[in-house]
Amino acid sequence: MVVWSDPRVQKLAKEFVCTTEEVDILFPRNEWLINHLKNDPAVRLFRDVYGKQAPRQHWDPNPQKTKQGVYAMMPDGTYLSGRFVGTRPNQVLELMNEALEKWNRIVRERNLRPKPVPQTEALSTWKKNKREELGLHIELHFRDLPRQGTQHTNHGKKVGEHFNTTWLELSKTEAQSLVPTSTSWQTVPNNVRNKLFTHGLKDIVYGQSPNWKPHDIRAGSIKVRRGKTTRSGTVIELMGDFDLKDHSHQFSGKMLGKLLWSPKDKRITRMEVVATGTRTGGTTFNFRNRDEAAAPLGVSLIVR
Amino acid sequence: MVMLRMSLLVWLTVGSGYTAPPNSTEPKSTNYREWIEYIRPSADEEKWRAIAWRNKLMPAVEEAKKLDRPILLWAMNGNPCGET
Repeated sequence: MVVWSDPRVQKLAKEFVCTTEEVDILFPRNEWLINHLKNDPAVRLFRDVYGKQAPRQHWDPNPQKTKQGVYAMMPDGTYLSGRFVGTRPNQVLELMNEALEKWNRIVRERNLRPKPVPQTEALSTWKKNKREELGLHIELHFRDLPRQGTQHTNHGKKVGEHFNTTWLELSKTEAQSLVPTSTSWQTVPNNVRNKLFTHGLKDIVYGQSPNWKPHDIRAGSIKVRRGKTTRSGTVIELMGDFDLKDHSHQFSGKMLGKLLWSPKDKRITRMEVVATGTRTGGTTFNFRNRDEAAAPLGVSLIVR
Repeated sequence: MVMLRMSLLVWLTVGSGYTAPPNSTEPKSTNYREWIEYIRPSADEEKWRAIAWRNKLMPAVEEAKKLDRPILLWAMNGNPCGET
C-alpha cells in the first residue's frame, strides 16, 4: 500500500484508468478455474493477449506461477509495461513512465483523442451501485490487537501494523432482520447471524482465509434492540458473542456496536460494530505460520 | 436538543484517526468506538485511496476505450480493494 501513497505515483496514476483485480481469475492456475473461465474475456485479455507480449523478466512463463504484479496495457491488451510483484515506488514509477512513453507513441500512431480520467474516490461508483442494490454493504477491517508483554507477533511482525479490508453484502431482506421492533433484545435470525460470522469474522490480517462453514459455529448469537430516536433516525443497539472453530483455527469473542435506521430512507444508513476476541491457529494462506498461539484479534464492521 | 446534537456529533466524529487502544479487549459501550478507530485504517493508511481505483478489469477496459487511455492494473491474490 505504501507505493500508492507516494505523491509521485499518485500524480502519474491520473494518466491511467487504474484498477485492481484478483489475479487468479485473470490467470487461473487450478484445473477447475481454468475450465470455468476458459471463455472469460478478462482471462483472454490478460493471459492470452497481454501475457504473450510481456517480456520474460516481468512474466514467468510457467503457468503454475502466480502473476501478481502491476501491469500497464492498452484496452486491446497491447503491452505497455509490467512488473511482476512490483511494489516499491521506484519500480512502479519506472513502469508508469515506460508505459506512458509507449502510450504517447500509440496516441500519435492511432490518432487517439485522450480525455481526462475521472478522479473519483476509489471504488465510488462500485460502492454507490452496491448501496443501491443491497440492504447493507459492510466494510470490514481486520487487525491484530495489542498483546500483553510484547509488541511483536511470534512471526516477527509488529503487532497492529498490518491490517486488511474486505466487504460483506447483506440483501435487503437480510438487513431488515437487523431492525428490531422493540426496545427489548431480539435475537437476529440464524441465517443472518451465520453470514456475519462465517463471512465476516475471519483472520485475514496477513493473508487470505476461506469463509467458515456453518458447522464451524460452535456457539454464538447476535441480538438487537431499539435505542434512542434522533432527527437522523432510530439507533439500533447490537451485541453478540461467537465461538468459531475448525480443524486448523479458532476465533471466539464478543461483538458490540450500533446501527442507525433512517425512516426517511427506509434502510440502515450507518453501522459501527466491533468484534474482538482471541484467535488461535491459522489457515493455508493467512500467513499465521509460527504465530498460531492464542492472541487477540479485532474486526470492525462499518457502514458510512 | 443538546443530547440530539451530541448524538449526531458522535456519529460524525468516527474516523477522526484516534488510534490508542482501550485497556480492555472486551468490547463495551464505553470503548467499542475506540476499538473501531484502532482497527480501521488511519488517514495515513488510506492514502492509497487517493488513486481513483476501479476494482474489476473489464469495466476499466471499457472505460479506457471510451477515454482513449491506458490501463494500470494491480493484480494480487485477494483483490487489493477488498473481497479477500
